[in-house]
Amino acid sequence: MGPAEVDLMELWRQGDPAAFEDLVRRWERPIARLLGRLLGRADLVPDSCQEVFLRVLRARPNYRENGSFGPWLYQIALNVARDAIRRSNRIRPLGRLEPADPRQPAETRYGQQETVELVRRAVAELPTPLREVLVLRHYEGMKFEEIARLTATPASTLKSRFAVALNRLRNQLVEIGLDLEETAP
Amino acid sequence: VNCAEVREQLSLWCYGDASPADADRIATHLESCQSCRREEIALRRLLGLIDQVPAPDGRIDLARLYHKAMTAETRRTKRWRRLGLIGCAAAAGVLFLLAIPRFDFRLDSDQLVIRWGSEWRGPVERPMVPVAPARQADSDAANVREQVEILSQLLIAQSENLDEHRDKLNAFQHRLEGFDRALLAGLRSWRSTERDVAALSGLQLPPSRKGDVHE
Repeated sequence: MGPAEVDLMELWRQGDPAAFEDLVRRWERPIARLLGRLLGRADLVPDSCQEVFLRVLRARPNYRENGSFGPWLYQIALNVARDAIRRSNRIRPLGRLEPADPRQPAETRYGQQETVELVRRAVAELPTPLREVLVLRHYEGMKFEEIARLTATPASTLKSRFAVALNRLRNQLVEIGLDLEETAP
Repeated sequence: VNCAEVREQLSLWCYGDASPADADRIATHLESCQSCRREEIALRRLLGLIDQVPAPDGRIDLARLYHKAMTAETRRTKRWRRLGLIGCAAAAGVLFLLAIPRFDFRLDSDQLVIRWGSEWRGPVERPMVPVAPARQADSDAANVREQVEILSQLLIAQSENLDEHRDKLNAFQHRLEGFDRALLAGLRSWRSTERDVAALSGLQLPPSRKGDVHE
Protein backbone atom coordinates (compact mmCIF):
# COMPACT_ATOMS: atom_id res chain seq x y z
CA MET A 1 0.00 0.00 0.00
CA GLY A 2 1.63 3.19 -1.15
CA PRO A 3 0.98 6.72 0.01
CA ALA A 4 -2.51 8.16 -0.31
CA GLU A 5 -3.49 10.19 -3.35
CA VAL A 6 -3.58 13.40 -1.33
CA ASP A 7 0.02 12.81 -0.24
CA LEU A 8 1.08 12.01 -3.79
CA MET A 9 -0.63 15.12 -5.05
CA GLU A 10 1.12 17.20 -2.40
CA LEU A 11 4.48 15.65 -3.32
CA TRP A 12 3.84 16.35 -6.98
CA ARG A 13 2.86 19.94 -6.21
CA GLN A 14 6.20 20.27 -4.49
CA GLY A 15 7.88 19.18 -7.74
CA ASP A 16 8.25 15.40 -7.40
CA PRO A 17 7.57 13.91 -10.86
CA ALA A 18 7.61 10.37 -9.47
CA ALA A 19 4.52 11.20 -7.43
CA PHE A 20 2.64 12.20 -10.55
CA GLU A 21 3.75 9.04 -12.30
CA ASP A 22 2.49 7.02 -9.33
CA LEU A 23 -0.87 8.79 -9.52
CA VAL A 24 -1.12 8.07 -13.23
CA ARG A 25 -0.32 4.39 -12.77
CA ARG A 26 -2.94 4.08 -10.05
CA TRP A 27 -5.71 5.76 -11.96
CA GLU A 28 -5.06 5.10 -15.65
CA ARG A 29 -7.03 1.86 -15.80
CA PRO A 30 -10.09 3.03 -13.82
CA ILE A 31 -10.22 6.22 -15.85
CA ALA A 32 -9.85 4.32 -19.12
CA ARG A 33 -12.69 1.99 -18.15
CA LEU A 34 -14.89 4.91 -17.14
CA LEU A 35 -14.17 6.78 -20.36
CA GLY A 36 -14.74 3.68 -22.48
CA ARG A 37 -18.19 3.24 -21.00
CA LEU A 38 -19.09 6.91 -21.04
CA LEU A 39 -17.98 7.28 -24.65
CA GLY A 40 -19.21 3.91 -25.87
CA ARG A 41 -16.22 3.73 -28.20
CA ALA A 42 -12.90 2.11 -27.45
CA ASP A 43 -11.05 4.05 -30.18
CA LEU A 44 -11.66 7.37 -28.41
CA VAL A 45 -10.35 6.13 -25.07
CA PRO A 46 -6.54 6.58 -25.44
CA ASP A 47 -6.73 10.23 -26.51
CA SER A 48 -9.42 11.04 -23.96
CA CYS A 49 -7.41 9.33 -21.23
CA GLN A 50 -4.36 11.39 -22.19
CA GLU A 51 -6.52 14.49 -22.11
CA VAL A 52 -7.70 13.72 -18.57
CA PHE A 53 -4.17 13.45 -17.21
CA LEU A 54 -3.08 16.40 -19.30
CA ARG A 55 -5.71 18.49 -17.53
CA VAL A 56 -4.51 17.11 -14.20
CA LEU A 57 -0.99 18.15 -15.18
CA ARG A 58 -2.13 21.65 -16.06
CA ALA A 59 -4.26 21.94 -12.92
CA ARG A 60 -1.30 21.42 -10.60
CA PRO A 61 -0.80 25.11 -9.71
CA ASN A 62 -4.52 25.55 -8.99
CA TYR A 63 -5.17 22.26 -7.19
CA ARG A 64 -6.46 22.75 -3.66
CA GLU A 65 -6.43 19.68 -1.51
CA ASN A 66 -9.76 18.89 0.10
CA GLY A 67 -9.25 15.19 0.62
CA SER A 68 -11.20 14.08 -2.44
CA PHE A 69 -8.76 13.38 -5.22
CA GLY A 70 -10.92 10.59 -6.75
CA PRO A 71 -14.09 12.66 -7.25
CA TRP A 72 -11.97 15.52 -8.57
CA LEU A 73 -10.41 13.18 -11.14
CA TYR A 74 -13.82 11.75 -12.03
CA GLN A 75 -15.11 15.27 -12.56
CA ILE A 76 -12.31 15.91 -15.04
CA ALA A 77 -12.97 12.59 -16.79
CA LEU A 78 -16.67 13.39 -17.03
CA ASN A 79 -15.92 16.78 -18.62
CA VAL A 80 -13.47 15.21 -21.06
CA ALA A 81 -16.02 12.58 -22.03
CA ARG A 82 -18.71 15.22 -22.57
CA ASP A 83 -16.32 17.24 -24.76
CA ALA A 84 -15.40 14.16 -26.79
CA ILE A 85 -19.04 13.20 -27.28
CA ARG A 86 -19.84 16.71 -28.39
CA ARG A 87 -17.03 16.57 -30.95
CA SER A 88 -17.85 13.12 -32.25
CA ASN A 89 -21.21 12.09 -33.60
CA ARG A 90 -19.93 9.05 -35.39
CA ILE A 91 -21.26 6.41 -33.05
CA ARG A 92 -23.08 3.86 -35.14
CA PRO A 93 -26.81 3.95 -34.48
CA LEU A 94 -28.24 0.80 -33.01
CA GLY A 95 -31.20 0.89 -35.37
CA ARG A 96 -29.01 -0.26 -38.24
CA LEU A 97 -28.86 -3.71 -36.73
CA GLU A 98 -31.02 -6.18 -38.53
CA PRO A 99 -33.65 -7.66 -36.21
CA ALA A 100 -33.20 -11.36 -35.64
CA ASP A 101 -35.54 -13.83 -37.33
CA PRO A 102 -38.42 -14.30 -34.84
CA ARG A 103 -39.03 -17.84 -36.17
CA GLN A 104 -35.67 -18.94 -34.75
CA PRO A 105 -35.62 -20.19 -31.14
CA ALA A 106 -34.67 -17.43 -28.73
CA GLU A 107 -31.53 -19.16 -27.50
CA THR A 108 -30.13 -19.48 -31.04
CA ARG A 109 -30.91 -15.98 -32.38
CA TYR A 110 -27.76 -14.43 -30.92
CA GLY A 111 -24.60 -15.93 -29.57
CA GLN A 112 -23.26 -14.78 -26.21
CA GLN A 113 -20.68 -12.43 -27.70
CA GLU A 114 -23.20 -11.00 -30.12
CA THR A 115 -25.62 -10.36 -27.27
CA VAL A 116 -22.97 -8.56 -25.25
CA GLU A 117 -22.07 -6.48 -28.29
CA LEU A 118 -25.73 -5.55 -28.74
CA VAL A 119 -25.95 -4.49 -25.12
CA ARG A 120 -22.75 -2.47 -25.45
CA ARG A 121 -24.13 -0.65 -28.44
CA ALA A 122 -27.48 -0.16 -26.76
CA VAL A 123 -25.71 1.47 -23.80
CA ALA A 124 -23.69 3.62 -26.21
CA GLU A 125 -26.93 4.72 -27.89
CA LEU A 126 -28.42 6.06 -24.67
CA PRO A 127 -28.60 9.85 -24.35
CA THR A 128 -25.60 11.20 -22.48
CA PRO A 129 -27.38 12.09 -19.18
CA LEU A 130 -28.93 8.60 -18.99
CA ARG A 131 -25.67 6.90 -19.92
CA GLU A 132 -23.73 8.92 -17.34
CA VAL A 133 -25.96 7.90 -14.45
CA LEU A 134 -26.04 4.27 -15.62
CA VAL A 135 -22.25 4.09 -15.88
CA LEU A 136 -21.57 5.84 -12.60
CA ARG A 137 -24.17 3.85 -10.64
CA HIS A 138 -23.83 0.42 -12.24
CA TYR A 139 -20.18 0.20 -13.26
CA GLU A 140 -18.55 2.56 -10.79
CA GLY A 141 -20.85 1.64 -7.92
CA MET A 142 -21.28 5.25 -6.85
CA LYS A 143 -24.19 6.25 -4.64
CA PHE A 144 -26.77 8.60 -6.10
CA GLU A 145 -25.71 11.27 -3.60
CA GLU A 146 -22.12 11.04 -4.83
CA ILE A 147 -23.26 11.22 -8.44
CA ALA A 148 -25.39 14.21 -7.51
CA ARG A 149 -22.34 16.03 -6.15
CA LEU A 150 -20.31 15.08 -9.20
CA THR A 151 -22.85 16.13 -11.81
CA ALA A 152 -24.53 18.90 -9.82
CA THR A 153 -27.89 17.22 -10.38
CA PRO A 154 -30.45 16.36 -7.68
CA ALA A 155 -30.33 12.74 -6.52
CA SER A 156 -34.07 12.33 -7.16
CA THR A 157 -33.55 13.34 -10.79
CA LEU A 158 -30.71 10.88 -11.08
CA LYS A 159 -32.84 8.06 -9.70
CA SER A 160 -35.53 8.80 -12.27
CA ARG A 161 -32.95 8.91 -15.03
CA PHE A 162 -31.53 5.61 -13.87
CA ALA A 163 -34.90 3.90 -14.07
CA VAL A 164 -35.56 5.47 -17.48
CA ALA A 165 -32.15 4.33 -18.72
CA LEU A 166 -32.77 0.72 -17.76
CA ASN A 167 -36.26 0.73 -19.28
CA ARG A 168 -35.03 2.27 -22.51
CA LEU A 169 -32.17 -0.20 -22.67
CA ARG A 170 -34.52 -3.10 -22.21
CA ASN A 171 -36.97 -1.78 -24.82
CA GLN A 172 -34.19 -1.27 -27.37
CA LEU A 173 -32.96 -4.81 -26.87
CA VAL A 174 -36.48 -6.14 -27.19
CA GLU A 175 -36.92 -4.17 -30.44
CA ILE A 176 -33.99 -5.97 -32.04
CA GLY A 177 -35.28 -9.36 -30.93
CA LEU A 178 -33.54 -9.91 -27.61
CA ASP A 179 -36.39 -10.78 -25.30
CA LEU A 180 -35.06 -10.74 -21.76
CA GLU A 181 -38.23 -12.14 -20.23
CA GLU A 182 -38.15 -15.01 -22.69
CA THR A 183 -34.55 -15.80 -21.91
CA ALA A 184 -35.01 -15.39 -18.23
CA PRO A 185 -34.91 -18.65 -16.34
CA VAL B 1 -48.22 -1.57 -3.05
CA ASN B 2 -49.49 -2.34 -6.54
CA CYS B 3 -47.54 -3.64 -9.55
CA ALA B 4 -47.00 -0.19 -11.11
CA GLU B 5 -45.42 1.16 -7.93
CA VAL B 6 -43.25 -1.93 -7.59
CA ARG B 7 -41.99 -1.74 -11.19
CA GLU B 8 -41.25 1.92 -10.72
CA GLN B 9 -39.06 1.15 -7.70
CA LEU B 10 -37.72 -2.14 -8.99
CA SER B 11 -34.40 -0.83 -10.36
CA LEU B 12 -33.65 0.99 -7.10
CA TRP B 13 -34.64 -2.09 -5.12
CA CYS B 14 -32.29 -4.28 -7.18
CA TYR B 15 -29.41 -1.95 -6.28
CA GLY B 16 -30.43 -1.65 -2.66
CA ASP B 17 -31.28 2.01 -3.06
CA ALA B 18 -34.92 1.73 -1.99
CA SER B 19 -35.83 2.87 1.49
CA PRO B 20 -36.11 0.03 4.06
CA ALA B 21 -39.89 0.37 4.21
CA ASP B 22 -40.22 0.29 0.40
CA ALA B 23 -37.78 -2.62 0.20
CA ASP B 24 -39.92 -4.72 2.56
CA ARG B 25 -43.12 -3.92 0.70
CA ILE B 26 -41.54 -4.74 -2.69
CA ALA B 27 -40.10 -8.03 -1.40
CA THR B 28 -43.50 -9.05 -0.03
CA HIS B 29 -45.19 -8.12 -3.31
CA LEU B 30 -42.69 -10.05 -5.43
CA GLU B 31 -43.34 -13.22 -3.41
CA SER B 32 -46.98 -13.11 -4.37
CA CYS B 33 -46.93 -11.53 -7.88
CA GLN B 34 -45.66 -13.75 -10.68
CA SER B 35 -45.73 -10.94 -13.28
CA CYS B 36 -43.56 -8.61 -11.18
CA ARG B 37 -41.31 -11.54 -10.36
CA ARG B 38 -40.73 -12.11 -14.09
CA GLU B 39 -40.04 -8.38 -14.42
CA GLU B 40 -37.46 -8.56 -11.69
CA ILE B 41 -35.80 -11.56 -13.34
CA ALA B 42 -35.66 -9.79 -16.68
CA LEU B 43 -34.14 -6.76 -15.03
CA ARG B 44 -31.51 -8.86 -13.32
CA ARG B 45 -30.81 -10.56 -16.63
CA LEU B 46 -30.33 -7.15 -18.24
CA LEU B 47 -27.99 -6.06 -15.45
CA GLY B 48 -26.05 -9.27 -15.92
CA LEU B 49 -25.66 -8.53 -19.62
CA ILE B 50 -24.56 -4.97 -18.86
CA ASP B 51 -21.96 -6.41 -16.51
CA GLN B 52 -20.55 -8.51 -19.31
CA VAL B 53 -19.81 -5.54 -21.56
CA PRO B 54 -16.03 -5.40 -21.67
CA ALA B 55 -14.28 -2.23 -20.65
CA PRO B 56 -11.32 -0.93 -22.60
CA ASP B 57 -7.98 -0.97 -20.93
CA GLY B 58 -5.71 2.02 -21.03
CA ARG B 59 -2.08 2.75 -20.41
CA ILE B 60 -0.80 6.29 -20.32
CA ASP B 61 2.35 7.02 -22.27
CA LEU B 62 3.96 9.48 -19.87
CA ALA B 63 6.58 10.65 -22.35
CA ARG B 64 3.84 11.48 -24.84
CA LEU B 65 1.84 13.12 -22.08
CA TYR B 66 4.71 15.40 -21.07
CA HIS B 67 5.45 16.22 -24.70
CA LYS B 68 1.81 17.04 -25.31
CA ALA B 69 1.74 19.23 -22.20
CA MET B 70 4.84 21.07 -23.35
CA THR B 71 3.42 21.56 -26.84
CA ALA B 72 0.15 22.81 -25.44
CA GLU B 73 2.00 25.22 -23.14
CA THR B 74 4.05 26.54 -26.05
CA ARG B 75 0.93 26.95 -28.15
CA ARG B 76 -0.81 28.75 -25.33
CA THR B 77 2.12 31.09 -24.86
CA LYS B 78 2.16 31.86 -28.57
CA ARG B 79 -1.57 32.45 -28.53
CA TRP B 80 -1.29 34.88 -25.62
CA ARG B 81 1.59 36.66 -27.35
CA ARG B 82 -0.45 36.91 -30.54
CA LEU B 83 -3.43 38.19 -28.58
CA GLY B 84 -1.18 40.73 -26.89
CA LEU B 85 0.11 41.98 -30.22
CA ILE B 86 -3.40 42.19 -31.62
CA GLY B 87 -4.48 44.09 -28.52
CA CYS B 88 -1.60 46.54 -28.85
CA ALA B 89 -2.34 47.04 -32.54
CA ALA B 90 -6.01 47.62 -31.79
CA ALA B 91 -5.14 50.10 -29.02
CA ALA B 92 -2.76 51.91 -31.37
CA GLY B 93 -5.47 52.01 -34.04
CA VAL B 94 -8.00 53.42 -31.60
CA LEU B 95 -5.52 56.03 -30.38
CA PHE B 96 -4.72 56.93 -33.98
CA LEU B 97 -8.40 57.31 -34.82
CA LEU B 98 -8.88 59.45 -31.72
CA ALA B 99 -5.84 61.57 -32.55
CA ILE B 100 -6.76 62.31 -36.18
CA PRO B 101 -9.57 64.80 -35.41
CA ARG B 102 -7.27 66.54 -32.94
CA PHE B 103 -4.50 66.96 -35.51
CA ASP B 104 -4.51 70.24 -37.40
CA PHE B 105 -2.30 70.57 -40.46
CA ARG B 106 -2.75 73.31 -42.97
CA LEU B 107 -0.74 75.46 -45.30
CA ASP B 108 -1.70 79.11 -45.35
CA SER B 109 -0.41 81.69 -47.74
CA ASP B 110 2.14 82.93 -45.26
CA GLN B 111 2.52 80.09 -42.75
CA LEU B 112 2.51 76.32 -42.26
CA VAL B 113 0.39 75.27 -39.29
CA ILE B 114 0.93 71.91 -37.56
CA ARG B 115 -1.01 71.67 -34.33
CA TRP B 116 -2.15 68.72 -32.19
CA GLY B 117 -4.16 68.58 -29.05
CA SER B 118 -6.80 71.16 -29.66
CA GLU B 119 -10.33 70.13 -30.36
CA TRP B 120 -11.11 70.06 -34.05
CA ARG B 121 -13.49 72.76 -35.08
CA GLY B 122 -13.05 72.72 -38.81
CA PRO B 123 -10.83 75.02 -40.84
CA VAL B 124 -9.68 77.87 -38.66
CA GLU B 125 -10.32 81.33 -40.01
CA ARG B 126 -7.68 83.78 -38.88
CA PRO B 127 -9.44 86.71 -37.29
CA MET B 128 -8.82 90.07 -38.84
CA VAL B 129 -7.49 92.33 -36.09
CA PRO B 130 -8.81 95.87 -36.64
CA VAL B 131 -6.16 98.58 -36.45
CA ALA B 132 -7.16 101.84 -34.80
CA PRO B 133 -6.90 104.82 -37.30
CA ALA B 134 -5.26 107.13 -34.76
CA ARG B 135 -2.57 104.63 -34.06
CA GLN B 136 -2.02 104.19 -37.81
CA ALA B 137 -1.61 107.94 -38.24
CA ASP B 138 0.78 108.12 -35.33
CA SER B 139 2.80 105.38 -36.86
CA ASP B 140 2.92 107.14 -40.26
CA ALA B 141 3.95 110.45 -38.67
CA ALA B 142 6.71 108.75 -36.79
CA ASN B 143 7.92 107.16 -40.01
CA VAL B 144 7.89 110.52 -41.81
CA ARG B 145 9.68 112.20 -38.93
CA GLU B 146 12.32 109.57 -39.02
CA GLN B 147 12.77 109.92 -42.76
CA VAL B 148 12.93 113.72 -42.49
CA GLU B 149 15.51 113.41 -39.77
CA ILE B 150 17.60 111.17 -41.98
CA LEU B 151 17.28 113.56 -44.93
CA SER B 152 18.23 116.55 -42.83
CA GLN B 153 21.29 114.77 -41.57
CA LEU B 154 22.18 113.96 -45.17
CA LEU B 155 21.73 117.60 -46.16
CA ILE B 156 23.87 118.78 -43.30
CA ALA B 157 26.56 116.36 -44.32
CA GLN B 158 26.32 117.54 -47.94
CA SER B 159 26.44 121.18 -46.93
CA GLU B 160 29.52 120.52 -44.87
CA ASN B 161 31.03 118.95 -47.93
CA LEU B 162 30.10 121.99 -49.99
CA ASP B 163 31.77 124.36 -47.51
CA GLU B 164 34.86 122.28 -47.63
CA HIS B 165 34.88 122.29 -51.44
CA ARG B 166 34.31 126.03 -51.46
CA ASP B 167 37.25 126.58 -49.15
CA LYS B 168 39.39 124.44 -51.39
CA LEU B 169 38.21 126.38 -54.41
CA ASN B 170 39.00 129.70 -52.75
CA ALA B 171 42.41 128.47 -51.80
CA PHE B 172 43.00 127.37 -55.38
CA GLN B 173 41.82 130.73 -56.66
CA HIS B 174 44.18 132.49 -54.28
CA ARG B 175 46.98 130.42 -55.56
CA LEU B 176 45.99 131.21 -59.17
CA GLU B 177 46.00 134.92 -58.35
CA GLY B 178 49.39 134.51 -56.80
CA PHE B 179 50.60 132.79 -59.93
CA ASP B 180 49.14 135.64 -62.03
CA ARG B 181 50.87 138.21 -59.97
CA ALA B 182 54.09 136.31 -60.17
CA LEU B 183 53.66 136.04 -63.93
CA LEU B 184 53.10 139.81 -64.26
CA ALA B 185 56.13 140.47 -62.12
CA GLY B 186 58.09 138.13 -64.33
CA LEU B 187 56.92 139.89 -67.50
CA ARG B 188 57.81 143.29 -66.05
CA SER B 189 61.13 141.98 -65.08
CA TRP B 190 61.58 140.52 -68.58
CA ARG B 191 60.60 143.82 -70.21
CA SER B 192 62.90 145.77 -68.01
CA THR B 193 65.67 143.39 -68.70
CA GLU B 194 64.92 143.59 -72.42
CA ARG B 195 65.07 147.43 -72.35
CA ASP B 196 68.24 147.31 -70.38
CA VAL B 197 69.78 144.99 -72.91
CA ALA B 198 68.58 147.19 -75.80
CA ALA B 199 69.91 150.33 -74.17
CA LEU B 200 73.12 148.66 -73.63
CA SER B 201 73.33 147.53 -77.21
CA GLY B 202 71.92 150.81 -78.68
CA LEU B 203 69.28 149.09 -80.56
CA GLN B 204 65.87 150.72 -81.18
CA LEU B 205 63.22 148.59 -79.78
CA PRO B 206 60.02 148.15 -81.90
CA PRO B 207 56.89 149.67 -80.49
CA SER B 208 55.08 147.43 -78.07
CA ARG B 209 52.13 145.41 -79.35
CA LYS B 210 48.62 146.15 -78.27
CA GLY B 211 47.85 144.29 -75.15
CA ASP B 212 51.38 144.27 -73.93
CA VAL B 213 51.82 145.04 -70.39
CA HIS B 214 53.34 148.39 -69.47
CA GLU B 215 54.34 149.72 -66.22
